[in-house]
Amino acid sequence: MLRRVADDRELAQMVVSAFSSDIGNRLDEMDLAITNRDLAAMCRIAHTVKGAASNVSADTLVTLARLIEAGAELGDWKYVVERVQDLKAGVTGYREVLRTRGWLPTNEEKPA
Amino acid sequence: MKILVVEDDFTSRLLLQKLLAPHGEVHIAINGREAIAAFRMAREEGEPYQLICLDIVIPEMDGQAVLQEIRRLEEGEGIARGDGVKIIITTVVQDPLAIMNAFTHQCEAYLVKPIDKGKLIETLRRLGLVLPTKP
Repeated sequence: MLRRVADDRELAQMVVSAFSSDIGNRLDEMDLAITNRDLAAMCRIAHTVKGAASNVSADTLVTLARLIEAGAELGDWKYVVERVQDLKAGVTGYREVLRTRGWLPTNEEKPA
Repeated sequence: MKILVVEDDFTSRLLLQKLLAPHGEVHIAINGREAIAAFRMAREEGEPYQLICLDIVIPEMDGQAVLQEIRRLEEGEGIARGDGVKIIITTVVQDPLAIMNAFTHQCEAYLVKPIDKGKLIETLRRLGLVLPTKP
């Protein structure tokens, strides 16, 4: 990610922090889409997460978002729900890595 | 330079805004309808956008439809092909059909996310929107 912003660590940190904060909203939207059995919404949210995660080089989250999008396109709710759980776990792990590396303050807490 | 970033994703929006801010005044639209409204308003005020960075998968009206509508409005005003606002597609959509459609509808460039500062600035240079770097 640093390379893509020409080693501007301040900008990278700002974007990573924004992603870490905003992804919680996207996970809430995914939960709502599951409750409403809304495949179109799930597809759109997963697509958005894919783009956002790619910007912060969160490759595992990109892959999971891609799988959710594909599952939603196929209408496979069981698969989608499982991958959303994986995504939540992935976000928790991602935040933990960021904190460990000093990219996020240790007091930031928004459980996935 | 007056710039419009059309993005529904907060992270992408923030990144583009920060990267483009040194090159002009950056406005934001978070869906297709807002983008068209902003484009129209800027023209009506006589201060049109010189650059639009446009995502494809956005709510209300997708980016391809926004692109077509902007070119239709420009044509209606007698703006010759190539003389209108420069439009860079910024998306995670990589399929050839989407890329072909975007160029058919006269986007100037198509950048696939993740957003890369070097590629973005190089594209602005190629489009004559920023000056080339001195050797």
